[in-house]
Amino acid sequence: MDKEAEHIFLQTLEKEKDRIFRICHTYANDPEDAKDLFQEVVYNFWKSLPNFQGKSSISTWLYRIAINVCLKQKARKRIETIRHVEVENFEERVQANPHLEALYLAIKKLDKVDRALIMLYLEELPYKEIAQITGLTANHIAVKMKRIREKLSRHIKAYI
Amino acid sequence: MEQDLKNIWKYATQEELVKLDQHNLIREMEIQHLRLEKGIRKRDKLEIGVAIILMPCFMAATFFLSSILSKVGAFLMIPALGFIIYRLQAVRKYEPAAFSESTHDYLNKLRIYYTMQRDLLKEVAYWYLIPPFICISMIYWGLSSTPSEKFINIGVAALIYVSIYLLNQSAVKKKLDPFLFEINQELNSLEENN
Repeated sequence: MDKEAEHIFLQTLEKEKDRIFRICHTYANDPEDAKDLFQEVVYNFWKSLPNFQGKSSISTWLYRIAINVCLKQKARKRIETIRHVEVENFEERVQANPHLEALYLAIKKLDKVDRALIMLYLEELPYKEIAQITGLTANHIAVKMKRIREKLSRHIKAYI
Repeated sequence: MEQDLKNIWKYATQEELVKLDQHNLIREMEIQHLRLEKGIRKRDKLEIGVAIILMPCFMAATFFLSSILSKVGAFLMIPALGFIIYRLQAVRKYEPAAFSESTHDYLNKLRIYYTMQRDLLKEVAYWYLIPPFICISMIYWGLSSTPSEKFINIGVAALIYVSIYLLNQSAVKKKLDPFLFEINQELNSLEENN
């Protein structure tokens, strides 16, 4: 990988790392699993970067990798722990706020695809970018999002 | 409701969660990559290496075996092994290598790949088991001196092949079928519009 690609890799990762980690966390069974998933996203981002042709933004590219790695969780090739990535205990942060905990538990109750969509939405990505990540149209995303938000609200009420 | 959800989520986004040691991260990525690639090469070698090693052995056997039936069996084993390599490699090239496609395209490719894997294992008798078993039986039949020896040798081979068949069918049922079911569910969930 050349210096410019290395720079893009580090810069994009630095900007998006927390969002990506939060997405991974909703697919994980425990904090260690979340860290493993995140590391796998980082590795696959690094590996695929030479193929990036600029047809989408680099962050869209990274989100695609994150969602696809999380969805393929069962059949993924596990990588060794990356020593140069440190992760805070997100679980504690979630548990400290009852509303956030309820939202978090409600997200985990959604199916995997809905979970991906709502996470991208909560992380304030525009519908257009969510559409590019998922391969659907922005209109389709808007319709789905309305339904997912309703489902989510019902689940949250059960936890509060 | 929209804003409420976002406001709650904002609380989760206030503190930095991940710290990267940028200086060493690239080097570590390269090490990880080399290790994973080595693992893949090892798997490929193991999968087709045995068949490649056996092919010249059977070629030699066609010259050195005394029985005509055994010679024919050994000779037929060569294309049978070649066909195994071909079938394994033909499916392997459909494995989605990059995660960077849209979720919809990626899941579709994953579905195609795992459907092919499942079909490969379901049909394992026709391409992996029966042709080599026929060849092995011909070799044993020509080499064994007594009828009981012929039947024992072929019977043992048959038992091994039946066990391989059952193991493959169990992998389809326990691993690939549930996995495909999940991929289909995810695709349906992504495509549904109400």
